[in-house]
Amino acid sequence: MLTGALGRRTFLQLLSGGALALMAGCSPRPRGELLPYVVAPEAGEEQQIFATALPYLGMARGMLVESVAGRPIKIDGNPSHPASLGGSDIYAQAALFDLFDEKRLRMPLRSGRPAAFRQMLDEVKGWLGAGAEGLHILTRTVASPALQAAISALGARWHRYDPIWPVSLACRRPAHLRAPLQPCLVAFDADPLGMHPEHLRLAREWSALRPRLYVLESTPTLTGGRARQRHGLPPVEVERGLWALAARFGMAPAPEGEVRVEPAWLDRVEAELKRGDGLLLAGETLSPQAQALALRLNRRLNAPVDVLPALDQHLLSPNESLHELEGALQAGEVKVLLILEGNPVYERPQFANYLSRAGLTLHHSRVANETSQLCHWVLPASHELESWGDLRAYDGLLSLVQPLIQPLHQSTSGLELLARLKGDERDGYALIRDFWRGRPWDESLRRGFLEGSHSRPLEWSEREPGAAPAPVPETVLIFRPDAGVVDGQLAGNAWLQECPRPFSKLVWGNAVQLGRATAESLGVANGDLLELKVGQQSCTLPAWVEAWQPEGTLAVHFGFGGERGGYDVYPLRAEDAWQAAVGVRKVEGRVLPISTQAHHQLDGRAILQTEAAAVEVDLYGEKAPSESEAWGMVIDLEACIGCNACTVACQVENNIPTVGPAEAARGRELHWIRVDRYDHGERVDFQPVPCQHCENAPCEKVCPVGATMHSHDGLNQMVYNRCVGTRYCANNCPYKVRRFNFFDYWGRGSKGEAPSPPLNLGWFEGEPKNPEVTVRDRGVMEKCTYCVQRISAARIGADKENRAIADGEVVTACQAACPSQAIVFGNLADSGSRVARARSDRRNFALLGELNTKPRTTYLSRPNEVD
Amino acid sequence: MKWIEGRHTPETVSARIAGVILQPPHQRLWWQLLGLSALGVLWLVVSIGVLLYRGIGVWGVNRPVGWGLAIVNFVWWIGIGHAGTLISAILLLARQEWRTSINRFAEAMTLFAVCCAGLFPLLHLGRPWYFYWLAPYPNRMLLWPNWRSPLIWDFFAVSTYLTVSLLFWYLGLVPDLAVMRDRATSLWQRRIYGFFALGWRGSSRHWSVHQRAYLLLACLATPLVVSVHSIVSLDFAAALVPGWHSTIFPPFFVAGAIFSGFAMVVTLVIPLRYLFSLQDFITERHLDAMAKMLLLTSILVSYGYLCEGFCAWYSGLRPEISTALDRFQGVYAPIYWVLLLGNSLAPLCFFWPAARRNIRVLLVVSVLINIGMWTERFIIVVQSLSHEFLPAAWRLYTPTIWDWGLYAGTLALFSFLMLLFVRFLPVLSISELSKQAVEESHE
Amino acid sequence: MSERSWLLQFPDQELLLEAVDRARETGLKVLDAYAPYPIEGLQQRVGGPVTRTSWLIFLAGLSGAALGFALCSWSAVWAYPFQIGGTPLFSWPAFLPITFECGVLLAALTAFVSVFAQAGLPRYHHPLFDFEAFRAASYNGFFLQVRGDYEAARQLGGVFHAE
Repeated sequence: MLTGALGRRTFLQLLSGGALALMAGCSPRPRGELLPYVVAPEAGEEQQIFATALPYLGMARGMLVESVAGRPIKIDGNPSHPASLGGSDIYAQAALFDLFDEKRLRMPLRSGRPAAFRQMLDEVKGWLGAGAEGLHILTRTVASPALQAAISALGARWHRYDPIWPVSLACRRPAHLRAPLQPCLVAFDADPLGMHPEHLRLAREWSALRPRLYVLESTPTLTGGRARQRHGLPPVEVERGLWALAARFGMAPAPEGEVRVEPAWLDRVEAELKRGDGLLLAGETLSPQAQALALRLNRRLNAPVDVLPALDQHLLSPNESLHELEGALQAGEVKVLLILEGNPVYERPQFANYLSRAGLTLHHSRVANETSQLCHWVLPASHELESWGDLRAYDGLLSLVQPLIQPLHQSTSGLELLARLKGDERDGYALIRDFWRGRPWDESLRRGFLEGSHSRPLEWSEREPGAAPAPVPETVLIFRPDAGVVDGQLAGNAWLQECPRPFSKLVWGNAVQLGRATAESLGVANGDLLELKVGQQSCTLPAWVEAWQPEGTLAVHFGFGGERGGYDVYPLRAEDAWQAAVGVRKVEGRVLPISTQAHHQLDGRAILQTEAAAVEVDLYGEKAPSESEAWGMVIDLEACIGCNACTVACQVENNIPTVGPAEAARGRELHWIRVDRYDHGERVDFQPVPCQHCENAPCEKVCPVGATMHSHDGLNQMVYNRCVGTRYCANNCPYKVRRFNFFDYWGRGSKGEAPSPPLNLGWFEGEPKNPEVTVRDRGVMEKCTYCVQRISAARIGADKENRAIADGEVVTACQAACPSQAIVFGNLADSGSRVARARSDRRNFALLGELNTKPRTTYLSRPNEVD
Repeated sequence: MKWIEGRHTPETVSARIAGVILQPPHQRLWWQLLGLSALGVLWLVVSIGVLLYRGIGVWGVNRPVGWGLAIVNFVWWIGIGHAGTLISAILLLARQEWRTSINRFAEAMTLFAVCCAGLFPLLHLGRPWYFYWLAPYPNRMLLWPNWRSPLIWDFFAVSTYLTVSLLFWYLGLVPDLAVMRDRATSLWQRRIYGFFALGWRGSSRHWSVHQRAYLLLACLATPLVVSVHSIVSLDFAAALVPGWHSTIFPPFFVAGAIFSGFAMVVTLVIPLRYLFSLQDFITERHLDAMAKMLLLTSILVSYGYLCEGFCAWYSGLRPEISTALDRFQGVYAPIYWVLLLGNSLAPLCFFWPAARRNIRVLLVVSVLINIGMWTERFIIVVQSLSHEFLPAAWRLYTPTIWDWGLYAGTLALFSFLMLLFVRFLPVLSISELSKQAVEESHE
Repeated sequence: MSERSWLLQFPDQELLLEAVDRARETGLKVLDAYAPYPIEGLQQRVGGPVTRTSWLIFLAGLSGAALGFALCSWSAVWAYPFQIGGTPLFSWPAFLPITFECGVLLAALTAFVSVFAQAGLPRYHHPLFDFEAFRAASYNGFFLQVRGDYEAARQLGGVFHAE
């Protein structure tokens, strides 16, 4: 129940807090409240690490955030947290950008003009009176028990909408299916390594286990990339394949008519599963019946699948819940509509028609978006990194979210906002402490999660699967969240926009993906425009040929449009369907999507394998064995899933600027480590390529001013202030890992080229920087340094204690981020180090080793399929 | 053998050549052309200004093609410059008398071409204000350049070349400046020419030391010609890029330089002789001799192409073969066809004497050759970089308006300087032609 | 009568050469001869000091080369050694282009300077420039400057200019 007016004291507190926050980063965090991960806070200590949780698809993953002088500068996985196991992904790495995003709302707005928070409270009270009758709240998936409790305590009608609903519908109630990975995995449109709330844990487990993976999917995914045998089929055929497999075990009637999945694949999978160590994975884009059949088959195979309750207590699907709200709006029952985060007007365009029927609309959001423009009030929302709260992981494990910095703007967290509406003026810390009364606070805060708080498995039975679906003859349009901006919420994040999508390597926009034969039949090449018509809605996008897109299907990714760049495909998506029948025709015009890699073929070169030619005669002669420190790196190509976490982690750690779409189109993106994709027979391989730190570096030889040279511990050094920018080193580098600052990319756009609207996404202005790494001038070359700042820090620490640097003490940013632990870095001179042992693996090879560059970074080849 | 046509004495020789300056024909045309090229020079200044203010990004260079039109133009201009030194020095040592009709003009062309060329290494730097770090000089940072880099060799080679060319040109010019001083009609003309003539009197002692030094400089300049463009070619050959890393490059580039330089001489000398009525001195036989040089060097260059292709195939290395094939099959293939047409096919017509003496054919083919040599530099620099070892890094280069603007600007600068040269300095070597006239009249 | 110099002008080089020969036979001192282009054998007949510059230029070239090589070696091995691409510090093959260029440069500079040093140029004021007719020396006339008896000089022929 809403009580009296907000006290003057609290209002002033908020106002002064905002003023304080305007000095972004200067205000220290309150002492005594936050507890760091490892070390108790000491007076004057600069660098500390704190455990918190950051959401993906609404659910928590434990992260460790490094804070220097009161400012968060780097995010990595929390090794203790089961949902991340120390790995991270591009979303966690890039979260810092959203925190410091210059486009964030700074103060409450009423009809587009700054207004006082208290005025909002008064207005709401005016509409609702004493009770909560007529108050409706629309949220995303809420995985925070504290927030759930707060919403319930308000007594409002609670609706939920989320364009992505990562739950299993195998049972009658939404559930989270969870299983440890088995040595044999069969995935049907499932992407445990990619679009899954627990993908970090799953990637780690997969990397340790290296299971035999068989995949049927309707669009290329990271999981499909690692499969032994992968087939691309339209979605309905994937389901029919599942039925065909189940029929072989007698679990379901065989599908009628022709099944497009190859019998050889079915035979193989059947044989594998009969060995008894198999697990089926069914993606949430499959129909509920298909998911149920998969669960039934799992149970028949005795796969250890746990059925956990979905975290959100809503029983309705997001679609149904939103319809309920639309009904209430239509009936005029909604006096006050509070939308917490999200962008329903953008994600469900027809919702805009209903929104005006509410009495008063409030949008609690970090940035102003389409929904904010239609709401009366827009209230700034705090980022997870600057607010208190809690959050559950996919398996229910409860983590505390602790802030790393005072709120930068006059924002509130969801908890605080709901409390204010109830007349409670406590801040987030007090609220969460109150909610957590009785639970061990210090330990949970320090470690990052509450021990033993995961969900208990339930004894739910699955639905009746029924018969297999009939084949669909028409061309099918497949909707998927974009790998970079997901549902569009992250479209303001330049790091994510510029992170190449794993398969297409597209940046700063989307396209419609189609297979080669489909493209030929339509007569389109990359960049030709296609008009897609679903029902009454149509959308025109450029085509992008993707060899792994099944013929007869087209794939589009939502999350773009308007200021986000790219094309908005939400209008084509009705009722949260994951696919739809579509009419396609080629139209006039050409817009070439921006891709960072144009060629995927191996061209007969031994880039991925151990058969690289050995060097016969080394004219330089043998060198003396290395000294006490010889840094080296080994990258396991079997483990690399192609997620690009290393790319964004390196960008964050090393102050690599984004260059924007115009420059990216010219091939000037600055990522120090890039993940190359190669199509290799039936396989797709990913190869991360950082600077190889060659012992016989071709780049060092040709620099006229000696701006690049070799250190005693094996690093190829790049001396920024000596570089005159001839770019000869970049030309002579066979790996093309050197990046040039063609413009002043950190500048305020005067020397560079600012993208023209609508893509001026707060470009460059707010990107946070790591204080331990310098920023490069225009005209200077840069490249991977093996995180020399971390090596130096470790060396200083070791020198102070009069010891050598221990193995594992220096962890490069890419190594730390990789969820599948594909990157190993360390001292080659130490024969017991992980990297030295990895190097002696028989799979070890040097990329382009026949050039006698003697790179310190070597690769472990991905073995061919072994029966 | 008589090279000069008509009955000429030293008096008529000097009168004719000095007359170009003292009673200039086609004044209006000269002013118009000068005005046009001045505009072009202005455009050059603008292009440079934009580049310095905004950065290398205004060009089309990217990863992996870090060098674009700037280096293409650099090598093209330096190549053109080599003809002058070749004509002056090597033909002198080879006792080819027909050189006297074109050597002064060609040497001037060398100087201006090297000036234009020298702009590019400066401007293509990411931080051109630090260009002097390439020079070895004692400094507070106690730093020295990296001697192993071909760009440092370039720095020494090109500056030596510019210096020696300038010295050689000026040395040969001094007696002619004395002629201008003595034939000058106005006081200021006499003063300025006299200042630069250094008081030359034509004493036999002067001539004796002059000729010895001239010969010695020619002996020095000959290996210099070979070495400078070899060093420029080592910019590419010393790198490991497929398509660059070829031992044929030094002689191939030198032959190509002579080739393009002679072509530029022919292109320029044909209108020159017409406009200034110098047909007596630059006769059809001279053109014939130059056409033979063009044919010879064209064959050498074509051999270079064959060699590249053969070595790529013989190596059995996929990157080499792929890059060589990409020249025919890739996006830049049309440019490669222009290259073959201009460099290997068109000059073959010079096997026919009639073609060698036909002004129109000479003009067209020489222009084609220059275009062909430009495209050859483009293919070497750009196509090789766009198609290297890792297919994931293959990417095209598209020149921007500032790339072209700078190139057009240097063409304008070259024209501007040449126009000034023909207006104010004797375009042909008066003293040498005088001597040749006298000798031929005795035969 | 004191020894005075006389300037004689001839229309072509044969006459000039004859005059030089005759001048020496009649005991006149040949000071200098002037022509618009170099004439073979003229300087020998005129006489005068001959300095061997070829050796000087050759030595200059050698020392230039040595200096260049020394600069490279000293700076790469002692003054500012750094590891580059696995190559040795004393990477002498890489020093050779610079060595060569330095040698050529110094030799060329020496040759150039030696011309004007030996010729005594620049010298803008010379008594001979007072003669209007001498202007033709650069393009048209062949002059002979002798010292000695007036009569003997007059007999050499050619146009006679007093001094």
